[in-house]
Amino acid sequence: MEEHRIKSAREIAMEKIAGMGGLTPEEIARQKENEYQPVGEAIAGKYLTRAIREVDLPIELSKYRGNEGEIVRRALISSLCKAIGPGDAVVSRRAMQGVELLAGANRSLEEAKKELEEIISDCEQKTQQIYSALEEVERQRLEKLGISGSAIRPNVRANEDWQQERDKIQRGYDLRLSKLTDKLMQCAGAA
Amino acid sequence: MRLVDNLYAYVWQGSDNNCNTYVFARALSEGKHVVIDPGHVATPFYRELGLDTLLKGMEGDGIAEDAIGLVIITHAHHDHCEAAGTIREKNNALLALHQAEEATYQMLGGKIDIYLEEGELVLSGDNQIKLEVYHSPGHSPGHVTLYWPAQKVLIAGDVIFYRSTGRVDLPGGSAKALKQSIQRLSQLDVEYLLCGHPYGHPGIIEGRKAVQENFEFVKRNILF
Repeated sequence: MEEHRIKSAREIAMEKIAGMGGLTPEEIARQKENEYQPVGEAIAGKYLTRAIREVDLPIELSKYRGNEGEIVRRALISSLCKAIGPGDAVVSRRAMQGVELLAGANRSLEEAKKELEEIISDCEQKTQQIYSALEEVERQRLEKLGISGSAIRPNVRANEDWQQERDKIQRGYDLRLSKLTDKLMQCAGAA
Repeated sequence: MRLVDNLYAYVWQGSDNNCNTYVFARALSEGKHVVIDPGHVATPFYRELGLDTLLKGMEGDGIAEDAIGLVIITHAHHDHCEAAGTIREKNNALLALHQAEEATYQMLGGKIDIYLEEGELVLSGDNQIKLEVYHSPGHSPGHVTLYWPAQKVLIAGDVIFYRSTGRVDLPGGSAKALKQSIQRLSQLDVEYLLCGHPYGHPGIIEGRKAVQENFEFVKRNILF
């Protein structure tokens, strides 16, 4: 007589897994994307904060080969492009330099670099004008309160008006920046 | 305690560490006051109520808390600036310090309205008070001292004390910079040297001779 016994939870689970079959190619690709995209983003973060030197960026990327390497490269370039904006010229220039290191110098990239410099310069000029105007308003307000002299400099950056005006100026470059980053992604073969 | 003209001194008399506070009464428009280094809200070990004590002292001198218009911090150490944020929020007062202290002050949660730099600070209230602001690093990177030439008053913060100096072992401290700061301040014509702490002495040194002797003592025995 056949012996009937109760299956363990492990046996039941193993039977279910056996019945599920393997992952589809799409699922495997998605899994790899989920695994290696954060690697590329992390390398970009380290490079932008100077934890990775310029010369080491291609070396860092070369640790990942084949399909995985391609995912890391794409995520790295995409993260560098996202860091490009008028708010922080130092970070933007470093991000642009990173893209160049990975893509190699070419004419389209030179054009993109030139355009970024134009955006940064234009934005800095506009924000400086607003800053000076708000500083003057603040100085006049302080003078009315009885505070003046060469030793004082109002902290305009703490002023809500300044933050709003600066954001407004920077938002004015959104479209140009979006086109610029698309161009960069294409130049670097990461689009 | 009224010291000279409309400058008042509040020497810390508790057991725990806290700073001395100096107040220019009615030094701004609409009779508002300027408070320099309000100190602790409550001291760190014995929880002595520094700010309450200060405000009671000021009230006794007819200086209302709600008329504080400006708080100047000589440097962003907790024992000088903890109460500054409370005063700022409660009385809508402005807060001033050197930009080199900004990072430290922001770590303590503070907000800055005015950066102080080397130059002239004019307070226009009942009378006009012209102060000279000196960047005096060493105890901290953005330490400032205030000199009032008309009354020969030097508000020295933690640069120099009675027969002693500010410590230089805290972040941003520099013995070399402190030595230069003290050397520079010792060239001023000072009748009242107002120190940031009552260490072994109230911290108010009066008389040109006594002030010079103190500078000489420090230079001879501590700095050189």
